[in-house]
Amino acid sequence: MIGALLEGIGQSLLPCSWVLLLPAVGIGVALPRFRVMVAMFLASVGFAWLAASGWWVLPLPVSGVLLVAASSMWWFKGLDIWSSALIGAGAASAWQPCVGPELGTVLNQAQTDPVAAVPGLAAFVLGVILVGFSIGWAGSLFLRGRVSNVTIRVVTIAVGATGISMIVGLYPAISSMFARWSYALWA
Amino acid sequence: MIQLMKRTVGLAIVAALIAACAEGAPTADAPVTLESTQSNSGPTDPADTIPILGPHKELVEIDGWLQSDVTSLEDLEGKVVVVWFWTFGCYNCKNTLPNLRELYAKHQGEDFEIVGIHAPEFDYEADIDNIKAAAVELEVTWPIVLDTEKRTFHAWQGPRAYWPRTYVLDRDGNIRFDQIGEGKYEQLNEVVATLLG
Repeated sequence: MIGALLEGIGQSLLPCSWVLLLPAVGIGVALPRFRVMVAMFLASVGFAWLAASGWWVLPLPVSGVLLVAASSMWWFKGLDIWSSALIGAGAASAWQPCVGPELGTVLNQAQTDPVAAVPGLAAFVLGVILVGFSIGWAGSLFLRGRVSNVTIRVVTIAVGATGISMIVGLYPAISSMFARWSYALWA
Repeated sequence: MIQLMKRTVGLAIVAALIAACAEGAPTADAPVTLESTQSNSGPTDPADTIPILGPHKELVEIDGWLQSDVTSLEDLEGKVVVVWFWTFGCYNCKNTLPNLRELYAKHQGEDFEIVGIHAPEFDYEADIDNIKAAAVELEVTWPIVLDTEKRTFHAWQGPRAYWPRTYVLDRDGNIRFDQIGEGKYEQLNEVVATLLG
């Protein structure tokens, strides 16, 4: 499963991983407690696994509702394990991965033996969000730990806006715009 | 800074635990190889040893074909067909291309075809001019099905669908190979060669 972890890290910057990566960046910026990050990780794995096993795929607008709810909770109560878990659940539900060899093995396995696919999927998701947390931490360190309330508010709004875009159907166009920039950059 | 180090160490521990669990996890994904499915009861058609995974699904409300005179999968009955779901911006799809190109060249002139069902992830990948340009750039010379609304993509794969995904259909239109993502190239090539006889 080290391979899946490394593949998750390697694929984290691809546009098809951004829906998982960017919320992790936002949470990382807030320098939350360890359990808050674990909550996002576990919820992400859980909902990604439900989808991969074919048992429960949330429609995109419902993922959006989860993100809006998380954003509201974060705004009014601060980032805790519940809002973090909601962000993980919403992001993972909306995640439509491009699949490399390691994740491919895991997802093929999930078709026939979903339980056996959990460790591999968890390792891949961990790889992606670990990069996100790291980028967020690095951003905070760049600001010498003085992440202002304004910064956190902006992150909170970004999470909520992403959710709203999923609800109203604008998300594909917005993500497409960012992906196009990325494609032009990398090409 | 100390807090940050604690968090980093904590996440590393989680990663290590997952890796440790994985070492003991069952590997249900053992590929179905031709050797493993052959019986000892005498000579049989090697193609019979490849499991039938069901009939193929239909193309659903597609937007047309590129690089082909074919208008439906039924036109390809009697051929072994690789159905490859892709989109041109997909990094992992590109990684599967060298093997597909080699396979296509190897079986030119035989009853073999590749059909690339282009299901765009992002809006700019739905533009037909971009698809044509990408096909030239990526040397995708086989027929392309335009599945702009991803109806075929989801009809074949369900609500959670992946790029790339590769199926092999036998001459009767039955699915004999199904691979999510990159990998299993040798098995894919072996299945095609066996089905072609």
